[in-house]
Amino acid sequence: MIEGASFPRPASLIASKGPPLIVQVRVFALLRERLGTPILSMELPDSATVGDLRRAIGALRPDFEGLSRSLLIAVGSVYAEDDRSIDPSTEIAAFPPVSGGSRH
Amino acid sequence: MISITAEPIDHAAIVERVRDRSAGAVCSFLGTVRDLTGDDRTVFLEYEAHSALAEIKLAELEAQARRRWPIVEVAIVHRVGRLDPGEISVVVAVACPHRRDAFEACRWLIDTLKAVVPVWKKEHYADGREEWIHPGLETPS
Repeated sequence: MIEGASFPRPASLIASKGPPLIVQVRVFALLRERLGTPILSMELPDSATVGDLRRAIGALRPDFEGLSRSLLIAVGSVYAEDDRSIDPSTEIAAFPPVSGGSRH
Repeated sequence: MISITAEPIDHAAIVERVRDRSAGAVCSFLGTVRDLTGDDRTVFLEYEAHSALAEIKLAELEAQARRRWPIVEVAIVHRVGRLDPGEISVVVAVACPHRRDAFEACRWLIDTLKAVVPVWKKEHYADGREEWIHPGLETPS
């Protein structure tokens, strides 16, 4: 398993004013397994939001587009909405829906 | 008491722990590993958690439950790692003065836990297939 595997940022996210954010994202379950790493290093525009991170993850691989729409993204201990800005000093985690969400 | 643990869960000890002289009712729920889902035979399950965040979310659920019901004591323990069929994956135990509140709080805690606490399971089936259980996921497996 490669720690902190790095991926190029998608071309659509390159328009940015300041230096890019390097964000370390802890990933879990199916997402962790498909990436082959527990920590994903992403380069995002300086004013990136949770939605930008979601789209960047979705652009990593063709099979991630649908997966990225279902991801929960935690900023610190809060599940964040897409309009929340990314603070790289706060722990960020991304994961697919939890096991028993179907309420069986 | 809130815990994410890799050790086998002693459910009787957890129930004992929440019992109290002021509680006339103790309701407990055990989640156990089922060996058959439809036609798929489970050999074992693998549970993974974001343990720190899971314990924070469990503590938030406990606080919400204590606001809704007159809870005397509550314990929520979830196991992670490899579990064989029949083993206990999660325990919720609630002590209240009266049984109606104990039943309601216990039911709400396990249902809400399963929807919001970051714990996932991966099925390992007898035919060699493996499957992460992610309800509602928009992706082919």
